[in-house]
Amino acid sequence: MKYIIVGAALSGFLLMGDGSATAGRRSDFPTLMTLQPDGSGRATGALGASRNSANDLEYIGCEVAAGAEGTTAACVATDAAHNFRVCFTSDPALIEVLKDMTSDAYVDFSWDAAGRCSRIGLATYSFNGPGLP
Amino acid sequence: MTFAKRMRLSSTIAIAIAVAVGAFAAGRWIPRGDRPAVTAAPVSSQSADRPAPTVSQGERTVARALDSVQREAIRRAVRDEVDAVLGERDAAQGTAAAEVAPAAERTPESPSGEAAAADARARVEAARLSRRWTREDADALRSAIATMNASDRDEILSALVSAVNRGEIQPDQAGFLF
Repeated sequence: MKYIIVGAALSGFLLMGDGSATAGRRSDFPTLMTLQPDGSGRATGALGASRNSANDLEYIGCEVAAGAEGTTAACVATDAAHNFRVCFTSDPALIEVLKDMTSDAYVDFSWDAAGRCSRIGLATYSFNGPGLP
Repeated sequence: MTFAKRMRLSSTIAIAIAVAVGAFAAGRWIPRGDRPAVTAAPVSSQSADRPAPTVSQGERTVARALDSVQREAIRRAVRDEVDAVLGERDAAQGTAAAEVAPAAERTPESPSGEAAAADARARVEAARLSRRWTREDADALRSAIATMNASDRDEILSALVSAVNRGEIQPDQAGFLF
């Protein structure tokens, strides 16, 4: 009996230790928006967290397409309140940023009143969780 | 400023300095004894630049007047030369800007680009009326923007995206407006 109690305590300790040793920082960044009266705004969110959100509305992402007349990109987001916003750009500097995009990226883009992307930022950190299947 | 213009300006200034030194030397070489002991009244720099009104005050006055006239001539020559160089530069810049401006504003549209732009405009306008943006619209616009020039593409995408952002057009599918 004594051995069983000691064994159980030891197992519990080891399990606790194992759990604390492997857990890193994790953050969820759902898709959020800041909307201005003139039509401009900003959307932020991690791809994984948006995919994993409890609602089936929110998403965020960007796309790039190249054609004979140049390259165009668009960033799109919908938040949990069903606000849907898009921006587009042909600015090579902004399009260059999108080359580093991964499925774990945190995306931050802004647009002006005409729908043009004025800023695109990406951040890829370990605490950005991957999207679940 | 080009090398040739710099050389021209430098040579003008060198001539001006040489003439000024010559004039100064000429003034120095007038024998002291010949110079009248005139106590010159204080003069402003403006009046000093003008030639003396008379030559009645002797050789020194003549030398001063000559010096003043020469200085004025040199100033005028240098000013003219600088104006000419700056004028040429401004004219060159103006011409270059005039040549660049239309190209930056609008690249000529090819016939296929014009047709694609017209079709895309009509599609966006129809979407405004129907308040819908279908997958077919997105596919068509994607093909169209690949052939139209940058200014048309910017204009049409701005019209579509700003209408979508105002909620005037609802896309049928997530993402992929074009």
